[in-house]
Order: sequence, then C-alpha cells, then structure tokens
Amino acid sequence: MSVRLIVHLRAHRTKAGLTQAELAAAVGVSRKTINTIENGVFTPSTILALTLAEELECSVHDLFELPDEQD
Amino acid sequence: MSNNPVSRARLFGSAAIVIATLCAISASVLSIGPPGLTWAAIIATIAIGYAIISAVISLLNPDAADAAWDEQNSAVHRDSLIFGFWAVLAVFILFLALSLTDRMDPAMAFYWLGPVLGAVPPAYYVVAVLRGRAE
Repeated sequence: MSVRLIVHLRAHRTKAGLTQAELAAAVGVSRKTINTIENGVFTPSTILALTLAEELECSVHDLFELPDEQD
Repeated sequence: MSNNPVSRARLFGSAAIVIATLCAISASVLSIGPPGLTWAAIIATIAIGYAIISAVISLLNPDAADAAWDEQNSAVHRDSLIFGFWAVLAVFILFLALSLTDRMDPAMAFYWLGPVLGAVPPAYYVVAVLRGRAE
C-alpha cells in the first residue's frame, strides 16, 4: 500500500512557535527529518508521530490524515 | 549543511571514500598513479579513519548521534545497503562475463569487487543528502 499522507505538521509547529530545529531537538530527530515529514517526503513511524503530537499538544489525527479517495 | 557534527562527519567520510574509490578506478583504467595495493591502502585508511572519527564524535555528542541516526537516516542507511547489494551483484555478473571471455583477469575482478562493495553504499548516502532525503 502506497498512500501519500496529508501533513499538517508545519501549521501546528508554526502555531506552537517552534522552528524545525527546535522541534527536532525536542523529539530527538534531525532537522532534515522534520523538514521531509512536513514536505510529505518521509512518513514517520507511529512512535515518532505520537511523539510529535505530544510535543505539539495535539492529536496525531491533527497532524496527519489520509486522503479521502485511495487508489 | 547540517549543524550536527555526527551527520557532518558521516557526509564528509562517505564523500571521501567515494572520491578515493573513483580516483582509484580512474587511475587503474588509465594505468597511471600508484599501484592498486597503494590505492587499497588509501581507501582503507580513509574508511578506518572515518570510522574512528565518527565513533569519537558520537561518544562526545550522544544526543547528536541519536539525531543523526534517527529513523529517517536509518531508513536511508538501510536503503544504501540494499542498493549496495544489487550493485555488487550487477558488477559481479559483469566481471564474470568479462572473465569468462578472457577480457578480465579473475583475480583482478575479485580485487575490484571490494571497492564497489565499500563505496556504493556511501555513494548512495551522499546522493541522498544532496537530494535532501537525509542529513
């Protein structure tokens, strides 16, 4: 199954007043990882998705969603 | 360029291995420069030096090491090893064909599989960094 997630991470990170580097440091990953997640290039693991949601004080479903129609 | 010292060491180390290997292959094809064993020693020195420097930097910066080997970079590393496997298999088949048709010395073919095995994964990693897929 290959699905391209709809990612709202950038909006929530900006709302929290964090830079990519600050969020990366907070969750223990590289800045590039945050960058590629925001751009939809890299799909994070469940653990990282939950960690990001916890750090940004929101739900995983606020950060990521599946497209309406899947091929 | 990453601010992470472990990522930087990995990028420069990988690039150095790739450049040294390409120089060795070019010199061998053109029959210039030092003999193959000298090139092998140069490549091995760079690779071992990189490993030692990377280990020291990682020990001195454990948080940076964790971030440098996060899940995305680990995935790219895994992909580089898979790509390396297929590259070596392809080169082996090529060298086998050349050896069977007396166009290449089997001992030389075996010798050159080492640099391919050692340099293809770092090359994949360097390209991934340049494409913005890894740090």
